[in-house]
Amino acid sequence: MKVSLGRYVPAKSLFHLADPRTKIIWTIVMMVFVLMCRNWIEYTIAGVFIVGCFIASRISFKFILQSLRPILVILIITSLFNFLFYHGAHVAFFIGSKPIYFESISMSIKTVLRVTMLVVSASLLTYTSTPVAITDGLESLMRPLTVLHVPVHEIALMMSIALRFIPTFADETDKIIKAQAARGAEFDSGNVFKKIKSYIPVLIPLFIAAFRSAEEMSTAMEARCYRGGKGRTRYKVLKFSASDVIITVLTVIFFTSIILLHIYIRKDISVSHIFINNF
Amino acid sequence: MKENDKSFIIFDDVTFSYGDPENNSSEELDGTSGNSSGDSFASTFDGSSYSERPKEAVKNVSFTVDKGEFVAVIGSNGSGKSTVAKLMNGLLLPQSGTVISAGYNTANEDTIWEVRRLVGMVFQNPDNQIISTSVEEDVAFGPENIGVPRDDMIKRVDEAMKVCGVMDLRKCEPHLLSGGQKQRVSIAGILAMRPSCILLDESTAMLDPKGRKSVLETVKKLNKEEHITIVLITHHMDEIIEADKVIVMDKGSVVKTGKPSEIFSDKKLLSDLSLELPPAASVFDSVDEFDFGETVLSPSRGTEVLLNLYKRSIS
Ligand SMILES: Nc1ncnc2c1ncn2[C@@H]1O[C@H](COP(=O)(O)OP(=O)(O)OP(=O)(O)O)[C@@H](O)[C@H]1O
Ligand SMILES: [Mg+2]
Repeated sequence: MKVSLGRYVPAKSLFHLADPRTKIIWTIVMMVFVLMCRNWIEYTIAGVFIVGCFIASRISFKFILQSLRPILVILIITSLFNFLFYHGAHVAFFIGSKPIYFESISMSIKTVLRVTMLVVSASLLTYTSTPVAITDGLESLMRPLTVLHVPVHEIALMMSIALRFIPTFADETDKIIKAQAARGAEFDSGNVFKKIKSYIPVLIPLFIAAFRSAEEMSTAMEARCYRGGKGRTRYKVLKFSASDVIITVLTVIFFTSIILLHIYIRKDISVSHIFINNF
Repeated sequence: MKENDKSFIIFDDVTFSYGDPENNSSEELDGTSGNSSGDSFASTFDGSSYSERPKEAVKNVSFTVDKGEFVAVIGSNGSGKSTVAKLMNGLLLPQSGTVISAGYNTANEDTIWEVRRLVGMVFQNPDNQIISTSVEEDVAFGPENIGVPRDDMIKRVDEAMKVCGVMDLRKCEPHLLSGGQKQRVSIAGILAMRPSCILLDESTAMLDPKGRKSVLETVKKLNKEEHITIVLITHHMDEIIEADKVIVMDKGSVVKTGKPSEIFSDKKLLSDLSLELPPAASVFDSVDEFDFGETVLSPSRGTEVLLNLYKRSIS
């Protein structure tokens, strides 16, 4: 059985080649700015930039939709609430006796856009970097925290061992399910509680196997001279490349334009108020 | 190094016991972990459970392993083979007696990491000793731990992967490898630390014949070409034919040491410990009418013996 880790989609693109650290920072910057967006100009710029980045990452549109699926319900409910209950000054039309304002229409669209952009920019990171790369990136970014006695190396090692063992345990689960099925266990019949209960004979052997693996693994690590992060050298080093420079430059341009707009439109708010803030 | 310069590992009257099983609940889990067969179940269910189990896993054991030697350790389940292996690289420390490995006493905390570097260990389960998420990173895990500078490390990792024939798999995720490939990756991981000795604790037990062969060939090559001392723990009698020395263990004690031919010609020992002869040997052994004058162990030796007989009969 082949289990793929995370949601990494292999390809050769600007984003795939970039250093995970750049992508992590890019994602954080994007999230901050999406949350800062107020008016339609800013939304448009952010949207265009994110779409541009997605095109540059060569991830197919299908995957973007896939990443949005889990939040679809939340998206619909929040926009519906905004649509119905947000109070504004300019009535657009009535549903029965309930007034619907321009502001509430604009607000609900903005909410959808904001959440979509947040999710899409986060999934750009997970689609273009392997979980291992993300772990390495996080370890490297968090290294300064060792000064505050945060066990950065240990956390990263734990994460990567967890990643390493996910496929192994998936295999193990598969084997146990088959073994239990051969003994007459039923997994798909009865109500929800019965179904959950029927997985107990799978979970217990799985836990025992996991503890045993952990035990053997720690012995094996000790036998290979592992004694914590102190005095360790690294085989794999993260390196910045041309793609990182390109991404950084583009992001800085985007960043400044949003900031400038933010300041400019603030000043000019009286003139463009109706126009920009409400359609 | 004391005693003599040739010895690499010296066991001097070593006794080790795993503490009182009643007081430690995790022991129960461990006790079964090293076993390849259903023996673990037998030992808990057939009444001969903990109370009757010999208290010492290893009792008054003395032997030496010479530099560059290929030593095989055999014995039934629970005879203390794994315990001996773990005593060799200081994963366990003896309660009495001394273990000298690579010239260092394993009880000395200051040199324990040097001992573990020089005496690498490959375990039985291929899945539970690969730590990293790709082959080359796993091979680098040991060198990283002992702080090898990066340039040197890259060289060592490449070299080790080449010797063990896993160069083509360098970027592979471990769970996609076969058992034999995983074990060869583990051996490469040890080799990259530049050890003088490799312990293999039933490292071929979970492999198919092909995987087993590839691992054994790698081990033999390391012994012949790189002069690395090998201690091979096994249940497969055909794996010990080429050993320089065989140590036979039973119930925590060494019952015999000698050349493979000496072990296999000791019929009483074999039947007492219910050890099987290697395939070729059992064929020659079943011929009662004729005395071949030696204990034939390998098929190639058997062919020679038969050819000589044939030549003699026609001349
Ligand atoms: N972690 C442990 N805790 C308690 N007892 C143990 C532990 N490991 C082994 N033993 C006991 O010590 C004795 C020797 O075990 P050891 O694992 O060395 O045998 P072995 O020769 O390697 O057996 P096998 O062929 O099954 O691997 C056995 O009686 C075993 O039950
Ligand atoms: Mg064992």
